[in-house]
Amino acid sequence: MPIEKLRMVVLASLMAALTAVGAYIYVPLGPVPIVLSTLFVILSGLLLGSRWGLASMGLYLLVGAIGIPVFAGGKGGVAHFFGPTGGYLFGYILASWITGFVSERSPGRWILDILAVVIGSLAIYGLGVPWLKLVTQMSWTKALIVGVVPFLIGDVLKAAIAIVLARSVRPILKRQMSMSTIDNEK
Amino acid sequence: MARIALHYFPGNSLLHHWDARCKFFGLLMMTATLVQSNIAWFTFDSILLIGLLFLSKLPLRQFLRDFWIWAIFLFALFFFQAFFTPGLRVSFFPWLPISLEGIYLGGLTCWRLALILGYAVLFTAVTRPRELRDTLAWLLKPLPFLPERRIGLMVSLTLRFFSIILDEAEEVRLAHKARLGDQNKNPFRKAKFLALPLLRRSLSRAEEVTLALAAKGFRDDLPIHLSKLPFSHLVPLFILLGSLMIIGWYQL
Repeated sequence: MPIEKLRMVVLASLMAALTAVGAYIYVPLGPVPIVLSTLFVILSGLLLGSRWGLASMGLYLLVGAIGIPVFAGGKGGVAHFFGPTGGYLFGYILASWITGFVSERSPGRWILDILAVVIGSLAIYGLGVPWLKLVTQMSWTKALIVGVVPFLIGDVLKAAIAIVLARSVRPILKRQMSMSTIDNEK
Repeated sequence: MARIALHYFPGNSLLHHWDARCKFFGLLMMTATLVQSNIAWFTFDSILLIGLLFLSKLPLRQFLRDFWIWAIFLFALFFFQAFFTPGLRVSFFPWLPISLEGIYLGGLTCWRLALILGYAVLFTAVTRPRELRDTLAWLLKPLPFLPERRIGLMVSLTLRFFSIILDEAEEVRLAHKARLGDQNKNPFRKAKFLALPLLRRSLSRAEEVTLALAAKGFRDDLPIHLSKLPFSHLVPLFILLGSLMIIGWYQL
Protein backbone atom coordinates (compact mmCIF):
# COMPACT_ATOMS: atom_id res chain seq x y z
CA MET A 1 0.00 0.00 0.00
CA PRO A 2 1.46 3.46 -0.84
CA ILE A 3 2.61 5.40 2.21
CA GLU A 4 0.25 8.31 1.42
CA LYS A 5 -2.75 5.99 1.62
CA LEU A 6 -1.35 4.25 4.67
CA ARG A 7 -0.96 7.64 6.37
CA MET A 8 -4.61 8.48 5.70
CA VAL A 9 -5.65 5.08 7.10
CA VAL A 10 -3.71 5.80 10.31
CA LEU A 11 -4.95 9.40 10.55
CA ALA A 12 -8.58 8.29 10.08
CA SER A 13 -8.07 5.82 12.95
CA LEU A 14 -6.54 8.59 15.06
CA MET A 15 -9.49 10.91 14.45
CA ALA A 16 -11.92 8.09 15.32
CA ALA A 17 -9.99 7.57 18.57
CA LEU A 18 -10.03 11.31 19.35
CA THR A 19 -13.81 11.35 18.75
CA ALA A 20 -14.12 8.44 21.17
CA VAL A 21 -12.05 10.28 23.81
CA GLY A 22 -14.21 13.38 23.23
CA ALA A 23 -17.31 11.31 24.04
CA TYR A 24 -16.04 10.96 27.62
CA ILE A 25 -16.10 14.72 28.15
CA TYR A 26 -19.82 15.10 28.37
CA VAL A 27 -22.69 16.69 30.28
CA PRO A 28 -25.81 14.48 30.62
CA LEU A 29 -28.50 17.00 29.74
CA GLY A 30 -31.83 15.28 29.01
CA PRO A 31 -32.03 12.62 26.28
CA VAL A 32 -29.20 14.20 24.24
CA PRO A 33 -25.96 14.90 26.14
CA ILE A 34 -23.46 17.67 25.37
CA VAL A 35 -20.24 16.02 24.15
CA LEU A 36 -16.85 17.14 22.93
CA SER A 37 -16.93 14.53 20.14
CA THR A 38 -18.54 16.97 17.71
CA LEU A 39 -15.34 19.06 17.81
CA PHE A 40 -13.37 16.09 16.46
CA VAL A 41 -16.10 15.21 13.95
CA ILE A 42 -15.70 18.66 12.38
CA LEU A 43 -11.93 18.53 12.77
CA SER A 44 -11.75 15.18 10.95
CA GLY A 45 -13.50 16.76 7.96
CA LEU A 46 -11.22 19.81 8.04
CA LEU A 47 -7.99 17.81 8.32
CA LEU A 48 -8.70 14.65 6.34
CA GLY A 49 -11.12 15.89 3.70
CA SER A 50 -14.47 14.43 2.70
CA ARG A 51 -13.47 10.85 1.85
CA TRP A 52 -11.24 10.08 4.79
CA GLY A 53 -13.34 12.16 7.18
CA LEU A 54 -16.31 9.99 6.28
CA ALA A 55 -14.18 6.85 6.68
CA SER A 56 -13.01 8.03 10.08
CA MET A 57 -16.53 8.61 11.40
CA GLY A 58 -17.76 5.34 9.87
CA LEU A 59 -14.93 3.66 11.75
CA TYR A 60 -15.94 5.40 14.99
CA LEU A 61 -19.48 4.06 14.64
CA LEU A 62 -18.18 0.57 13.80
CA VAL A 63 -15.98 0.51 16.92
CA GLY A 64 -19.00 1.58 19.00
CA ALA A 65 -21.23 -0.98 17.28
CA ILE A 66 -18.99 -3.90 18.27
CA GLY A 67 -19.49 -3.00 21.92
CA ILE A 68 -16.43 -0.89 22.75
CA PRO A 69 -17.53 2.00 25.05
CA VAL A 70 -16.84 4.94 22.72
CA PHE A 71 -20.21 6.69 22.58
CA ALA A 72 -21.25 9.58 24.85
CA GLY A 73 -20.63 8.73 28.48
CA GLY A 74 -18.90 5.43 27.78
CA LYS A 75 -21.79 3.69 26.06
CA GLY A 76 -21.36 1.13 23.32
CA GLY A 77 -23.27 -1.44 21.26
CA VAL A 78 -25.50 -1.49 18.19
CA ALA A 79 -28.60 -0.69 20.25
CA HIS A 80 -27.51 2.95 20.63
CA PHE A 81 -28.11 3.54 16.94
CA PHE A 82 -31.80 2.91 17.54
CA GLY A 83 -32.02 5.15 20.62
CA PRO A 84 -32.82 8.89 20.73
CA THR A 85 -29.21 9.85 19.90
CA GLY A 86 -28.87 7.46 16.92
CA GLY A 87 -29.53 10.26 14.41
CA TYR A 88 -26.76 12.39 15.90
CA LEU A 89 -24.36 9.45 15.56
CA PHE A 90 -25.22 8.97 11.88
CA GLY A 91 -25.07 12.76 11.57
CA TYR A 92 -21.35 12.53 12.46
CA ILE A 93 -20.69 10.73 9.17
CA LEU A 94 -22.63 13.29 7.16
CA ALA A 95 -21.09 16.23 9.06
CA SER A 96 -17.54 15.04 8.56
CA TRP A 97 -18.14 14.41 4.85
CA ILE A 98 -19.79 17.81 4.28
CA THR A 99 -17.15 19.69 6.28
CA GLY A 100 -14.41 18.01 4.29
CA PHE A 101 -16.21 18.53 1.00
CA VAL A 102 -16.63 22.29 1.54
CA SER A 103 -13.15 22.93 2.99
CA GLU A 104 -11.50 20.95 0.15
CA ARG A 105 -12.84 23.39 -2.44
CA SER A 106 -10.12 25.86 -1.65
CA PRO A 107 -7.91 24.64 1.19
CA GLY A 108 -6.60 27.19 3.65
CA ARG A 109 -9.18 29.92 3.08
CA TRP A 110 -10.77 31.21 6.31
CA ILE A 111 -14.17 31.84 4.76
CA LEU A 112 -14.48 28.30 3.40
CA ASP A 113 -13.34 26.79 6.69
CA ILE A 114 -16.00 28.81 8.54
CA LEU A 115 -18.65 27.84 5.99
CA ALA A 116 -17.57 24.19 6.24
CA VAL A 117 -17.90 24.02 10.02
CA VAL A 118 -21.27 25.82 9.98
CA ILE A 119 -22.73 23.44 7.39
CA GLY A 120 -21.07 20.47 9.10
CA SER A 121 -22.51 21.36 12.51
CA LEU A 122 -25.96 21.84 10.97
CA ALA A 123 -25.69 18.43 9.29
CA ILE A 124 -25.52 16.75 12.72
CA TYR A 125 -28.83 18.39 13.66
CA GLY A 126 -30.21 17.63 10.19
CA LEU A 127 -30.21 13.93 11.01
CA GLY A 128 -30.27 14.09 14.80
CA VAL A 129 -33.41 16.16 15.41
CA PRO A 130 -35.83 14.27 13.07
CA TRP A 131 -34.52 10.99 14.53
CA LEU A 132 -35.01 12.27 18.09
CA LYS A 133 -38.56 13.32 17.23
CA LEU A 134 -39.30 9.95 15.63
CA VAL A 135 -37.94 7.85 18.50
CA THR A 136 -39.30 9.90 21.40
CA GLN A 137 -42.57 10.95 19.69
CA MET A 138 -41.94 14.58 20.71
CA SER A 139 -43.41 17.54 18.89
CA TRP A 140 -41.09 19.44 16.52
CA THR A 141 -40.94 22.37 18.95
CA LYS A 142 -39.94 20.16 21.87
CA ALA A 143 -37.45 18.23 19.72
CA LEU A 144 -35.80 21.52 18.76
CA ILE A 145 -35.78 22.74 22.37
CA VAL A 146 -34.27 19.48 23.65
CA GLY A 147 -32.10 18.59 20.66
CA VAL A 148 -30.76 21.92 19.38
CA VAL A 149 -31.10 24.88 21.76
CA PRO A 150 -28.86 23.61 24.63
CA PHE A 151 -26.00 22.90 22.22
CA LEU A 152 -25.89 26.10 20.16
CA ILE A 153 -23.41 28.11 22.26
CA GLY A 154 -21.20 25.06 22.79
CA ASP A 155 -21.28 24.25 19.08
CA VAL A 156 -20.18 27.78 18.15
CA LEU A 157 -17.25 27.42 20.57
CA LYS A 158 -16.39 23.93 19.30
CA ALA A 159 -16.57 25.08 15.67
CA ALA A 160 -14.26 28.02 16.40
CA ILE A 161 -11.80 25.78 18.26
CA ALA A 162 -11.92 23.23 15.40
CA ILE A 163 -10.93 25.94 12.90
CA VAL A 164 -8.09 27.19 15.14
CA LEU A 165 -6.80 23.64 15.65
CA ALA A 166 -7.12 22.69 11.98
CA ARG A 167 -5.22 25.78 10.83
CA SER A 168 -2.46 25.15 13.38
CA VAL A 169 -2.05 21.48 12.53
CA ARG A 170 -2.37 21.56 8.73
CA PRO A 171 1.26 22.72 8.22
CA ILE A 172 2.46 19.67 10.25
CA LEU A 173 0.40 17.30 8.10
CA LYS A 174 1.62 18.99 4.91
CA ARG A 175 5.22 18.67 6.05
CA GLN A 176 4.75 14.97 6.86
CA MET A 177 3.19 14.36 3.46
CA SER A 178 5.84 16.29 1.56
CA MET A 179 8.64 14.44 3.39
CA SER A 180 7.28 11.06 2.34
CA THR A 181 6.95 12.32 -1.25
CA ILE A 182 10.62 13.39 -1.23
CA ASP A 183 11.59 9.97 0.22
CA ASN A 184 9.63 8.22 -2.53
CA GLU A 185 11.31 10.32 -5.21
CA LYS A 186 14.75 9.40 -3.80
CA MET B 1 2.48 5.13 34.33
CA ALA B 2 1.14 3.51 31.20
CA ARG B 3 -2.53 2.59 31.13
CA ILE B 4 -3.27 -1.10 30.62
CA ALA B 5 -7.09 -0.94 30.34
CA LEU B 6 -8.23 -1.48 26.73
CA HIS B 7 -4.85 -3.05 25.88
CA TYR B 8 -4.06 -6.69 25.23
CA PHE B 9 -2.55 -8.35 28.29
CA PRO B 10 -0.66 -11.59 27.49
CA GLY B 11 -1.77 -14.59 29.47
CA ASN B 12 -2.36 -18.31 29.42
CA SER B 13 -5.99 -18.56 30.52
CA LEU B 14 -8.94 -20.29 28.90
CA LEU B 15 -10.24 -16.89 27.79
CA HIS B 16 -6.93 -16.04 26.11
CA HIS B 17 -7.07 -19.31 24.16
CA TRP B 18 -10.76 -19.04 23.26
CA ASP B 19 -11.25 -18.30 19.56
CA ALA B 20 -11.50 -14.53 18.96
CA ARG B 21 -14.58 -14.99 16.76
CA CYS B 22 -16.44 -16.67 19.63
CA LYS B 23 -15.28 -13.96 22.06
CA PHE B 24 -16.50 -11.32 19.66
CA PHE B 25 -19.98 -12.88 19.37
CA GLY B 26 -20.03 -13.30 23.15
CA LEU B 27 -19.29 -9.58 23.56
CA LEU B 28 -22.08 -8.71 21.13
CA MET B 29 -24.53 -10.86 23.09
CA MET B 30 -23.55 -9.28 26.39
CA THR B 31 -23.83 -5.71 25.11
CA ALA B 32 -27.26 -6.59 23.69
CA THR B 33 -28.43 -7.58 27.19
CA LEU B 34 -27.40 -4.16 28.49
CA VAL B 35 -29.82 -2.26 26.29
CA GLN B 36 -32.68 -2.32 28.80
CA SER B 37 -32.30 -1.12 32.37
CA ASN B 38 -33.27 -4.41 33.96
CA ILE B 39 -31.94 -5.53 37.33
CA ALA B 40 -32.20 -9.26 36.48
CA TRP B 41 -30.06 -8.86 33.34
CA PHE B 42 -27.59 -6.61 35.14
CA THR B 43 -27.22 -9.11 37.99
CA PHE B 44 -26.58 -11.97 35.56
CA ASP B 45 -24.11 -9.85 33.56
CA SER B 46 -22.28 -8.80 36.74
CA ILE B 47 -21.94 -12.36 38.08
CA LEU B 48 -20.73 -13.56 34.68
CA LEU B 49 -18.25 -10.69 34.40
CA ILE B 50 -16.77 -11.41 37.83
CA GLY B 51 -16.50 -15.11 36.93
CA LEU B 52 -14.83 -14.31 33.60
CA LEU B 53 -12.41 -11.86 35.23
CA PHE B 54 -11.21 -14.59 37.58
CA LEU B 55 -11.08 -17.07 34.69
CA SER B 56 -8.94 -14.65 32.66
CA LYS B 57 -6.19 -14.66 35.36
CA LEU B 58 -5.57 -10.96 34.66
CA PRO B 59 -3.80 -8.81 37.29
CA LEU B 60 -7.07 -7.30 38.49
CA ARG B 61 -5.39 -4.84 40.88
CA GLN B 62 -3.53 -3.22 38.01
CA PHE B 63 -6.73 -2.99 36.00
CA LEU B 64 -8.65 -1.52 38.93
CA ARG B 65 -5.97 1.18 39.28
CA ASP B 66 -6.85 2.31 35.74
CA PHE B 67 -10.51 2.49 36.65
CA TRP B 68 -10.20 5.52 38.92
CA ILE B 69 -10.80 8.03 36.09
CA TRP B 70 -13.88 6.10 35.01
CA ALA B 71 -14.99 5.80 38.64
CA ILE B 72 -14.87 9.60 39.03
CA PHE B 73 -16.81 9.91 35.82
CA LEU B 74 -19.44 7.40 36.98
CA PHE B 75 -19.81 9.16 40.35
CA ALA B 76 -20.27 12.51 38.59
CA LEU B 77 -22.93 10.96 36.38
CA PHE B 78 -24.69 9.41 39.38
CA PHE B 79 -24.82 12.69 41.28
CA PHE B 80 -25.99 14.57 38.20
CA GLN B 81 -28.91 12.16 37.77
CA ALA B 82 -29.69 12.08 41.50
CA PHE B 83 -29.85 15.87 41.69
CA PHE B 84 -31.61 16.67 38.43
CA THR B 85 -34.21 13.88 38.17
CA PRO B 86 -37.56 15.11 39.51
CA GLY B 87 -39.31 12.94 42.10
CA LEU B 88 -39.83 12.27 45.80
CA ARG B 89 -37.18 13.61 48.18
CA VAL B 90 -35.23 11.10 50.30
CA SER B 91 -37.04 10.97 53.69
CA PHE B 92 -33.81 10.54 55.73
CA PHE B 93 -32.23 13.67 54.27
CA PRO B 94 -35.10 16.02 53.31
CA TRP B 95 -32.67 18.95 53.16
CA LEU B 96 -30.77 17.30 50.30
CA PRO B 97 -32.18 18.18 46.82
CA ILE B 98 -31.93 14.59 45.55
CA SER B 99 -34.82 12.33 44.54
CA LEU B 100 -35.39 8.61 45.06
CA GLU B 101 -36.09 8.24 41.33
CA GLY B 102 -32.80 10.03 40.60
CA ILE B 103 -30.85 7.68 42.86
CA TYR B 104 -32.50 4.65 41.24
CA LEU B 105 -31.94 5.90 37.68
CA GLY B 106 -28.41 7.10 38.43
CA GLY B 107 -27.56 3.76 40.03
CA LEU B 108 -28.85 1.78 37.04
CA THR B 109 -27.06 4.05 34.54
CA CYS B 110 -23.75 3.73 36.38
CA TRP B 111 -24.20 -0.03 36.78
CA ARG B 112 -24.83 -0.41 33.06
CA LEU B 113 -21.84 1.77 32.09
CA ALA B 114 -19.57 -0.09 34.50
CA LEU B 115 -20.66 -3.38 32.89
CA ILE B 116 -20.08 -2.07 29.35
CA LEU B 117 -16.62 -0.85 30.39
CA GLY B 118 -15.87 -4.10 32.22
CA TYR B 119 -16.76 -6.31 29.25
CA ALA B 120 -14.87 -4.04 26.79
CA VAL B 121 -11.76 -4.04 29.01
CA LEU B 122 -11.94 -7.82 29.46
CA PHE B 123 -12.43 -8.42 25.72
CA THR B 124 -9.48 -6.22 24.70
CA ALA B 125 -7.28 -7.65 27.48
CA VAL B 126 -7.70 -11.26 26.32
CA THR B 127 -7.82 -10.67 22.54
CA ARG B 128 -4.68 -9.82 20.56
CA PRO B 129 -5.12 -6.79 18.25
CA ARG B 130 -4.16 -9.07 15.33
CA GLU B 131 -6.93 -11.54 16.29
CA LEU B 132 -9.47 -8.71 16.51
CA ARG B 133 -8.32 -7.38 13.13
CA ASP B 134 -8.63 -10.84 11.52
CA THR B 135 -12.02 -11.47 13.17
CA LEU B 136 -13.41 -8.23 11.78
CA ALA B 137 -11.93 -8.96 8.37
CA TRP B 138 -13.53 -12.44 8.51
CA LEU B 139 -16.91 -10.94 9.46
CA LEU B 140 -16.77 -8.24 6.78
CA LYS B 141 -15.49 -10.55 4.02
CA PRO B 142 -18.97 -11.54 2.73
CA LEU B 143 -19.87 -7.86 2.25
CA PRO B 144 -18.96 -6.64 -1.23
CA PHE B 145 -16.80 -3.54 -1.96
CA LEU B 146 -15.43 -3.35 1.59
CA PRO B 147 -11.65 -3.52 2.20
CA GLU B 148 -12.03 -5.90 5.13
CA ARG B 149 -8.32 -6.14 6.06
CA ARG B 150 -7.95 -2.37 6.05
CA ILE B 151 -11.06 -1.93 8.21
CA GLY B 152 -9.79 -4.57 10.62
CA LEU B 153 -6.46 -2.72 10.88
CA MET B 154 -8.22 0.61 11.41
CA VAL B 155 -10.36 -0.78 14.25
CA SER B 156 -7.32 -2.19 16.05
CA LEU B 157 -5.44 1.11 15.50
CA THR B 158 -8.39 3.10 16.88
CA LEU B 159 -8.36 1.05 20.08
CA ARG B 160 -4.60 1.49 20.40
CA PHE B 161 -4.82 5.25 19.83
CA PHE B 162 -7.72 5.58 22.28
CA SER B 163 -5.52 4.40 25.11
CA ILE B 164 -2.46 6.39 23.92
CA ILE B 165 -4.50 9.61 23.71
CA LEU B 166 -5.79 9.16 27.27
CA ASP B 167 -2.20 8.77 28.51
CA GLU B 168 -0.96 11.75 26.54
CA ALA B 169 -3.91 13.91 27.63
CA GLU B 170 -2.97 13.22 31.24
CA GLU B 171 0.68 14.16 30.57
CA VAL B 172 -0.31 17.39 28.77
CA ARG B 173 -2.77 18.27 31.56
CA LEU B 174 -0.12 17.80 34.24
CA ALA B 175 2.43 19.84 32.27
CA HIS B 176 -0.20 22.57 31.81
CA LYS B 177 -1.02 22.52 35.52
CA ALA B 178 2.67 22.70 36.46
CA ARG B 179 2.82 26.01 34.58
CA LEU B 180 -0.33 27.24 36.42
CA GLY B 181 -2.21 27.07 33.12
CA ASP B 182 -5.30 25.70 34.90
CA GLN B 183 -5.86 29.17 36.43
CA ASN B 184 -6.91 30.48 33.03
CA LYS B 185 -10.63 29.94 32.26
CA ASN B 186 -10.64 31.24 28.67
CA PRO B 187 -11.72 28.24 26.47
CA PHE B 188 -9.67 29.41 23.46
CA ARG B 189 -6.48 29.70 25.51
CA LYS B 190 -7.25 26.29 27.07
CA ALA B 191 -7.72 24.83 23.58
CA LYS B 192 -4.43 26.37 22.52
CA PHE B 193 -2.45 25.07 25.49
CA LEU B 194 -4.20 21.71 26.01
CA ALA B 195 -5.78 20.49 22.76
CA LEU B 196 -3.07 21.74 20.43
CA PRO B 197 -0.13 19.95 22.14
CA LEU B 198 -2.29 16.84 22.45
CA LEU B 199 -3.18 16.95 18.77
CA ARG B 200 0.44 17.58 17.75
CA ARG B 201 1.73 14.71 19.87
CA SER B 202 -1.01 12.43 18.53
CA LEU B 203 -0.10 13.35 14.96
CA SER B 204 3.56 12.57 15.53
CA ARG B 205 2.53 9.21 17.07
CA ALA B 206 0.36 8.58 14.00
CA GLU B 207 3.35 9.32 11.75
CA GLU B 208 5.49 6.83 13.69
CA VAL B 209 2.79 4.17 13.24
CA THR B 210 2.52 4.99 9.52
CA LEU B 211 6.27 4.60 9.03
CA ALA B 212 6.29 1.36 11.04
CA LEU B 213 3.46 -0.10 8.93
CA ALA B 214 5.16 1.04 5.72
CA ALA B 215 8.45 -0.51 6.88
CA LYS B 216 6.62 -3.78 7.56
CA GLY B 217 5.18 -3.61 4.04
CA PHE B 218 1.54 -3.67 5.11
CA ARG B 219 -0.79 -4.81 2.31
CA ASP B 220 -4.54 -5.01 2.44
CA ASP B 221 -4.97 -7.28 -0.56
CA LEU B 222 -3.59 -10.42 1.07
CA PRO B 223 -6.03 -13.23 1.93
CA ILE B 224 -6.93 -13.85 5.58
CA HIS B 225 -5.75 -17.13 7.03
CA LEU B 226 -8.00 -18.16 9.91
CA SER B 227 -8.15 -21.70 11.20
CA LYS B 228 -11.43 -23.63 11.15
CA LEU B 229 -13.54 -22.85 14.19
CA PRO B 230 -13.27 -25.90 16.52
CA PHE B 231 -16.59 -27.17 17.87
CA SER B 232 -15.25 -27.12 21.46
CA HIS B 233 -14.88 -23.33 21.18
CA LEU B 234 -18.52 -23.01 20.16
CA VAL B 235 -19.83 -24.84 23.23
CA PRO B 236 -19.38 -21.92 25.71
CA LEU B 237 -21.06 -19.64 23.20
CA PHE B 238 -24.09 -21.98 22.98
CA ILE B 239 -24.22 -22.22 26.79
CA LEU B 240 -24.18 -18.41 27.01
CA LEU B 241 -26.87 -18.09 24.36
CA GLY B 242 -29.00 -20.71 26.14
CA SER B 243 -28.63 -18.94 29.50
CA LEU B 244 -29.60 -15.61 27.96
CA MET B 245 -32.65 -17.19 26.30
CA ILE B 246 -33.79 -18.73 29.60
CA ILE B 247 -33.45 -15.39 31.42
CA GLY B 248 -35.19 -13.63 28.55
CA TRP B 249 -38.02 -16.19 28.69
CA TYR B 250 -38.55 -15.58 32.42
CA GLN B 251 -38.39 -11.83 31.93
CA LEU B 252 -41.22 -12.01 29.37
